[in-house]
Amino acid sequence: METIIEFSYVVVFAIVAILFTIAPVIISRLIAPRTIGDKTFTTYECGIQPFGSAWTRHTIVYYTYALIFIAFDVDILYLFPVALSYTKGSNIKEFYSLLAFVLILVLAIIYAWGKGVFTWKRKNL
Amino acid sequence: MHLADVVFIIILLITMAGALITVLSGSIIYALMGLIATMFGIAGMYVYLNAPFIAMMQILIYVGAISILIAFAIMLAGPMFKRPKEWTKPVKFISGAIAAIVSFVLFFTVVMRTEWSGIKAAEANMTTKDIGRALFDRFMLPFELISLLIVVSIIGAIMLALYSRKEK
Amino acid sequence: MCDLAAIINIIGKETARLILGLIGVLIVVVVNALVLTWVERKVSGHMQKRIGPKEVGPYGLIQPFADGLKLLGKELLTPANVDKPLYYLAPVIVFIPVLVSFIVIPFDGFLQVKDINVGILVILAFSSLSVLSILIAGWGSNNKYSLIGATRSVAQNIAYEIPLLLSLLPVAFMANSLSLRDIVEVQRQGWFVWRWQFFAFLIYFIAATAETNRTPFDLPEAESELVAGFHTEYSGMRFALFFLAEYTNIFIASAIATTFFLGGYLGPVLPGIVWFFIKTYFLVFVIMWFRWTFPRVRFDQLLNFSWKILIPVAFANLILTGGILKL
Repeated sequence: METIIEFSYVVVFAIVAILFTIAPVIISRLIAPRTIGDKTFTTYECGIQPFGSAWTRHTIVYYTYALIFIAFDVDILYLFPVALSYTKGSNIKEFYSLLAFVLILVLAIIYAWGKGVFTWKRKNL
Repeated sequence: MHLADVVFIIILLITMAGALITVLSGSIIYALMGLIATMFGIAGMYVYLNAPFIAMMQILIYVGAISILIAFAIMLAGPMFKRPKEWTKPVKFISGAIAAIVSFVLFFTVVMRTEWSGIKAAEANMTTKDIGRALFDRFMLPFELISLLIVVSIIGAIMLALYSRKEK
Repeated sequence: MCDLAAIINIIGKETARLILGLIGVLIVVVVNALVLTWVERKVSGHMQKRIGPKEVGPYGLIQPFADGLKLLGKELLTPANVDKPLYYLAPVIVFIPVLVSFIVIPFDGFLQVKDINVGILVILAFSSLSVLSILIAGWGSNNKYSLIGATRSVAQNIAYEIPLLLSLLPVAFMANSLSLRDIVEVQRQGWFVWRWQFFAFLIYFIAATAETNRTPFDLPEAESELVAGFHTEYSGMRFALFFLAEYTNIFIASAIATTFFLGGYLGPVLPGIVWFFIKTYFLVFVIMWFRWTFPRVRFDQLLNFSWKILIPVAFANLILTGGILKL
C-alpha cells in the first residue's frame, strides 16, 4: 500500500506535466497570428528546396556503442540492491564478490578496446 | 469494488492498449511507441505488487535502453512506413488467432492449477534491501554469473558487428 | 483492518501534500527558467566583456518576461511533411521526467514532496523518457538536421548514462540507501565530496553536463552544422517548452549533485533551503562557466572519453569505495 501511495504521486505529477505542456500551446493558438505564404509549411533546409524525405535508411555508426550500453546498463542496475545491503567493517566476502563482479565486467571493455570498437577510422572518399 | 481493484484495471488497460498498438499499427515507429506504453504498464503492475525496484529496472532497461536500440535498428534497416496490404492475408490472420488462443488457454490452465499458497508471506514482502542480501548470500554464484553472461553477450555482439563491418 | 475514518484521514493528508507539492514545484520550475535565462545571458555577456541585456527593466531583469510573452505570441507552425501525432507528442513527453524528478528532491529537512524509497532510481528511470522525446522530436519532424541531431543526442545520452550510474553508486554504497533524504542525513558526518568521493563527484558532474547537452558536449545542437538539432522544426511555444525543459534539467542535475555530494540542505547558520539553493545555483553557474571556457569536442572524442576514461575510473572508484567500507 505504501508503494502505491508513493507512486500515485508520480502518476499525478506526470498527468500535470502533460496538462502543463498543453495549456501554453492552446493559449498560443488563441492569440498568435497565422500566415499562409507560398513556402510557409515547407521543411527547413537552410533556404533551399527540401531534397527528399528524412525518413530513409541511414548508417548510425554508434550502434555498437548502443549494444555495449545495454549490457552495461543491465549489469550495473544489479549493483543498486547490492549497495543497500553492503555491510560496513565486517563480512569481507561481500567485497570479494563485488570485486569479481566488476572485474569480469571490465573484461568486456578491455575486449571492445582491443578489438578497435573505440577507434574511428577515417573513411577514404 | 475496492480502490486497489480500480488501480489494477487501469494498469491492465494501459498494458493491453499498448500491446494492441504494437501488434496492429501499420507503422513500425508507432509500434515502438505502443511497446513503450506496454512497458510502463508492466512497470505499474510491479508497483502494484509492491516491487518498486523491479518496476524502475523495467523502465530503465526496456524504455531507456532496449527501445533506443530498437529505434536505431529501425533507422539502420530502413523505416518501413506503412505495412504493405498484402502482408495481412486472411490465412495469416486466422493462424495468428489460433496460435494466440491456444497459448492463452495453455497459460490460463497452468496459472489456475498452480498452488500459489506455498509462497510464504515473508517472501512476498521482499524489499530492495532483501534482494541485495539474497544476491550476497543465497544467490552468490548466480550474481557472478550474471556478470559473466553479460560479458559473453557483449563479446558476441561486438564480433557480429565487426564481422558485418568488414564484409562491406 | 483499519477503520474508514483513518483511511480518509490518510488520503486527505496525502492529497493536501500532493497539491501543495505540485504548486510549489510548478513555481520553482517557472521561476527557475526565468532566472536562468536572465543569468545565462548576463553571465555570457560579462564573460565576453559585454554587458548582456539591459534595456527591459533595471539590469534587464524584466527581459525573461518579455521573451516569454514574445514566444507566446509567435505563430505555431506545423510543417506539412511532419508525422503529426509524434510531432505533437514530443514536447508533451519532454516535461514528464522534469516534473517527476522534483518529487524526490529534498529542498529542506521536511520540504520534500514525497520521499520515495528508491528515490534516485525514479529520477534515472524517468529521465529515459527525455531521451525518448528527443528521438520522437527528431523522427517526427521529418527534417534531416533534426534526425541527425536526435540520433547524436541519443548516442551521447546513452554513452554518459553508465558513468552517471557508476558515480552515484558509491554514494549509495556508503549511505546504504537510495532515498535522497537518507543520503543527505548521512552526510551530517561530512560531505561525500570530502569523504573519498571526490572523483565520483567529478565524473557525475561531467556526465551530467553531457546528459543535459551543454557545451562542451552540445553536439546535438551544434549550430554551425545542425541548425538547432532536434528542435529545428519547432517554433513558438513548442520550442519554448523544450527550452524550459532544458533549463529545468540543468537545475535538476545540479540539485542531484548537491544532494549526493555536497550535503544537500545541510549547512551552518542559514536555513536549509537557502543552503540548498546556494549550492545548486553555484553548480549551475559552473555549467555556464564551462560554456565559455571549453570549445566543443568532436563526436568520437565525446563517445570515447566516456568509455575509455570515465567508466574505468568510475569502476576503480567503486572498487576502492567497497574496499574502504570494509576496513
